[in-house]
Amino acid sequence: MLNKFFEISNDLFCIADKQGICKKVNPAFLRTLGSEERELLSFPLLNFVHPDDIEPTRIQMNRAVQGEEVLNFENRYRHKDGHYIYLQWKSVFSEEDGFSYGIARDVSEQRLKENMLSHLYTILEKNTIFTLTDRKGVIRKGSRLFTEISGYEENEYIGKTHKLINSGEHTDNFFKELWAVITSGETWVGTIKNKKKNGEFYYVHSIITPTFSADGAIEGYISIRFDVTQVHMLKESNEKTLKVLNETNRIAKVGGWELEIESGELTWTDETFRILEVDKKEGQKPHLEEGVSLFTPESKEIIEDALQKAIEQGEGYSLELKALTAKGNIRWVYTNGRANYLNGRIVSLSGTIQDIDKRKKAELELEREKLLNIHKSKLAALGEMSAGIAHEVNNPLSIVTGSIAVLKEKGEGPGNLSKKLDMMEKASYRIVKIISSLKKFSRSSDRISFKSISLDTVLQECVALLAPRFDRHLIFIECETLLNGEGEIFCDEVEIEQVIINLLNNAIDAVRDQNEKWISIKLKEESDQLILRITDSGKGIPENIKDKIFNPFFTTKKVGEGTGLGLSILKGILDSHKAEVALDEKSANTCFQITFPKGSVVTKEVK
Amino acid sequence: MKKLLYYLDDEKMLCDLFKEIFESEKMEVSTFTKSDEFLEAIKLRTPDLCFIDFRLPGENGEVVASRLETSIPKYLVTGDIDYTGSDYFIKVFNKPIQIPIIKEEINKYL
Repeated sequence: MLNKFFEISNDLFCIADKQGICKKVNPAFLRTLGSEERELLSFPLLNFVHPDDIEPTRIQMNRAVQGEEVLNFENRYRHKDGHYIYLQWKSVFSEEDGFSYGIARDVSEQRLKENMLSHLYTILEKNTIFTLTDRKGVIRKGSRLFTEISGYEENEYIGKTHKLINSGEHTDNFFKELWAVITSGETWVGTIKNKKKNGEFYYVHSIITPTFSADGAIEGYISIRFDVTQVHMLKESNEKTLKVLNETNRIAKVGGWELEIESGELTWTDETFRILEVDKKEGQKPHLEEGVSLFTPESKEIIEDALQKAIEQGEGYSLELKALTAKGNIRWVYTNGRANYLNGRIVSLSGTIQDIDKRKKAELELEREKLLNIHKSKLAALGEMSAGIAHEVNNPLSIVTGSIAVLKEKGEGPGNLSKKLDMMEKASYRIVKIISSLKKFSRSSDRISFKSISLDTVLQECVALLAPRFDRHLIFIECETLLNGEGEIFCDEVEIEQVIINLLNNAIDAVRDQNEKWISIKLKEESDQLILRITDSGKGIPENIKDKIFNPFFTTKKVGEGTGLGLSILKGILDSHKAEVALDEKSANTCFQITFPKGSVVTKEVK
Repeated sequence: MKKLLYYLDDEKMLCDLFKEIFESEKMEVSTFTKSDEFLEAIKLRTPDLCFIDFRLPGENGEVVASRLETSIPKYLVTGDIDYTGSDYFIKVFNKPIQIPIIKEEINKYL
């Protein structure tokens, strides 16, 4: 009857003799080891024991034979297919029949679980910042990495709570919430900022989970942490950089923008929103159309054109435009843009926008004042000259009125009329000449048309124009230019022609009564300048008048030959071309030198 | 006996016109375009009155007048509109000259 129990039991039964030879096993034993009876019976049991467990097993067997009870002894038996099975034994030896009776239970599953846990524990302890605390959070155990990162020795933290490494940077609520999670039996995951013994901060990504006792009550807590200080520092530094950048942008009033060409979507920085006074809507990007609508009509045309060129030809731009903000304010902005390529295709444009309203308005005001000053100085010059003009006009006018008086009183007498008419005509032309030289002073700047032209060409035209005069006075003319039609200056052609003719006329007047008569013209290039020298055979300008020659109405010519306006107007013209005229004092002969900036160096706003 | 009038002006045409207008049976008019010639002539023959232009090559009319005897009546003729006059001259006439006014002045010497 009892044999039935032997047959159906799930526990393993085994009977062996004194030498440990297997005599009888139950079906559960065979099942567990995957063997058949004949493979076990008559074989020593130690044959099936894990080599490492043979010695302890032998000891236990001897103890049993000596009458000691073996309880909860564990060893590993080899399954038929080669793997081992954990068995937990209880056995007794019977003096009566000399057999050992053993009952074993398969505890493999439990042992493997335990092994895995202990393995995991070892790994965590070795590779993570690990602490084990009791229910109140008092540290009972800490890993090597915890010792390393905290800077506290084991004896300094065992028995203390984590307050030891509190950075003070978290709110009380932060910890309250953490405790609420873990005391409810859940796992808390998050990043904590802690403080090392030396005062430095460190960040740990932490997993805190409770451990339970057999009755399900919380026994303590395990904290597994990873050092994320570097990541955090980087993030913190990035955030700081971004903050500084935003702040700088705000102060500098520079915004950034990017246009994704395919979608027409615009990405703006905060400052761009501010400059254009557009409300920022979270998750909503402005569209290109909205972007260009934020300019005044005339600026809109310009920006659309620039954008088209940038999108189609990759041409960059930088413009000063008038923005019409979302709130309806008009303000000057500087904006630039360039194309961004991906695989040789233009995919986006990006650039900046800057509020230059104050500067631009100041600039415009300055420009306006400058024009006003030019006008004022013209008036002043006219005022200064009026006395001189009056004198120059009154003399020929006296001739006219005098002649009329004579004609009236003495009649037209033979030859008298034509002689007087002749005199009046000559005198009148003198007045005409003076008045026409004054035109320069009434000319306003907006009628001047500047363009790039070859100074050489202008010079040749002037020489050709004056050729008859040179011939008439038998003056030898030498014209040497090294430019061959090249060497452009940005100028008003008519004005520069007048300057050169004026200087050549002066030279002719200076030398025509001399024995030695020559005029030399030299044009040369010097780095970014063109230098024109006009020298005549005259003996230079007397020391005492050198300073006055550029003053209005200063002249050394006889009455009727010059108005004295020539050099002063000439200087005015050259000033407006950023060119300089000077008398070369080192030259043995009279020599005027004009230095022109080459190319379009003169930046004159053409309106 | 004819009175003698000297006129100094570097403008030749004005000299000619002056002579043509003011010379008469009672008045002899001599004109000069250069100061030194004018001063030479005065040494030879003292005029009853003289007219001097202000803007002259070299020394101006005022300087020239300062070289003359104070007893010679002197008038200044000038195209300048801002000339304020000086003690050397009895009167200043502005150009363009107004013949009746000068004639009236000259008549005082006849």
